[in-house]
Amino acid sequence: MRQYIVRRMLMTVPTLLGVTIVAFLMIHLIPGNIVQVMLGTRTDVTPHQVQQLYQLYGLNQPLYVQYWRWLMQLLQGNLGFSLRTGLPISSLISQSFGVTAELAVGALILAVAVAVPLGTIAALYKKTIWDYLARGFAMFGLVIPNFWLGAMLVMLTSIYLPVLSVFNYVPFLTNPLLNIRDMIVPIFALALSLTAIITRMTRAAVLETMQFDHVRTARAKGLRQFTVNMKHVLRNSLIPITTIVGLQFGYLLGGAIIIENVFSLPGMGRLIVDAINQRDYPVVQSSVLFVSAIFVLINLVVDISYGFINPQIRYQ
Amino acid sequence: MALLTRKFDTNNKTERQMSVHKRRFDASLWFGGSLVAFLLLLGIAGPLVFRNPDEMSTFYLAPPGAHGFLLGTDQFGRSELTRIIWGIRTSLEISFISIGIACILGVSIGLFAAKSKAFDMGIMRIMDVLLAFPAMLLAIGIMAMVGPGITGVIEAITIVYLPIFARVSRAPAIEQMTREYIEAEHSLGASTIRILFRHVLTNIWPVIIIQLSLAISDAILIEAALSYLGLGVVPPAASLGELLASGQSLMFTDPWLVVFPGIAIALAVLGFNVLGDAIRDRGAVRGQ
Repeated sequence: MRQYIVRRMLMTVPTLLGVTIVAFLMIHLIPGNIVQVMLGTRTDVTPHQVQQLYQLYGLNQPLYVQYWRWLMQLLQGNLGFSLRTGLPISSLISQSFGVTAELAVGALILAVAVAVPLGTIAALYKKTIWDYLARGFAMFGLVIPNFWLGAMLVMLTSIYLPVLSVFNYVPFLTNPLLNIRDMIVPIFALALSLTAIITRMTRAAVLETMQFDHVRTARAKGLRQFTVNMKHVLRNSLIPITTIVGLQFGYLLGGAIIIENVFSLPGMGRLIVDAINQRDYPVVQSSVLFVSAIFVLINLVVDISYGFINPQIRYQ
Repeated sequence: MALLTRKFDTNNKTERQMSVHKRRFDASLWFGGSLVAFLLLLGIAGPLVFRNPDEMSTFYLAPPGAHGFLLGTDQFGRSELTRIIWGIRTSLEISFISIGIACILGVSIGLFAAKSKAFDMGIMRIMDVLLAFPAMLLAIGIMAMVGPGITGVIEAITIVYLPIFARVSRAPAIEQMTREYIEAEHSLGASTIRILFRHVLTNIWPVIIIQLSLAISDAILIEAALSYLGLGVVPPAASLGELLASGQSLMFTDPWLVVFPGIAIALAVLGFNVLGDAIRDRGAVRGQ
């Protein structure tokens, strides 16, 4: 098992390096460069001063030298500085990431809590009204864009449930109750499509597991139906469900970025979109890099957890 | 918990019986297919009837049904119905072009990766890196680079889906390459290109078709999300996402400006999703 974990962690290193290269190129492929963006239409700058700025940002160096320097800075935890405010990007991210993480984790918990029972019931009651209701709900959740649902919820809550429509973010630790009040609607909007996906997946997984021999054996030896369903069917269906939950976390991070903009929550999504609108490229670059690195690490954790759930995977 | 004690039927039909049953009438295939066909018709023929999406009338923010505007008008007095039809056209155009390019390039990469080990090692690492980004985030990052506009959205969606098509086609292509008929083709002197595109491709085609349909529905959503954030299609061009974005500020007084484009997006996504699922289910039953 230890060997599997080490191997899996080593495999992450080139992926992370690749992610840094893409993020690095992202900022160097835009037309013009940072200095030109900073100066904008200013004409009171002498060529000498421009030259000094180029030197300050290391733009007179070859690309691979620039990349190497940037990477070394990254490894020391220096994500650079905002072009507009001059603040260190790491502090901007640490202020924003909490919101995004809360949204994503909240949506994940809500989705799993609803979808796993729903999917199981749909499978056990295949081709009955329960199944059709669950599948109808899943299809509905899948086709409704989350940001549209968010906008609709903003509109509906403001009319019918004004208590829930104050989207004024309060950190969880400052006031948990206010925080939950403000986050519940965005979390719901983000969770719907994930709930739909997990419901479909659970249904398919349970249906497949029900056909296995060990389930027939369990029934044949006279176990109660409930025990068979819970211990033999649902438990064995959990592996594909865990897979899909892990895979969908990236989707949740992406979705949170949009949902934050719908509800004006001060998370990573707002940070990135505002930075794009202000052409604050270093902030865009570091934020995209940060969220992607988190995503890669989550995938690593998911992969390692498979090793615990399913011993076969360790030896592949 | 009473719900969880249900007994189930272990007496499953054989695959053959099911496939015979399926072939009789497939409701989801018909439903998804007709919805897609309807949207295509709207997107292709609609603009010929409703010619000018920018035409302004003197009726500003007319509610649905008023003054002969079926879906009302926006703040510039433009017919919402006409704009939605043009929006469907733009959204479909973006999705088809971007997914089309991503499919052709991605599948080619997947096929060549199945043929050459060295190519496989190199290019698939790059694809893995692209897959390491959350899709929406990658699309947003690309939009930050290329700037707003239809071309930018097409580029972003293409880059997001390229690695997915490469991944999806690579595994079955590798499997095909081990078959005996490939060896036979080799000994007959068939060229690599011929083997890959004439034989391997035609055998892995069903997998790609399913992916195509689902990818197009995702692309419609990505376009809508990007435009909604103000990074994608920008006014005066009309796309489904752009309509949502420009309607949002008037949402509280004139909700139809947000409701109708949202329904149009949901219908488009529904159509391609159901169609993709139906094709997959047919394939699964036949054991492909």
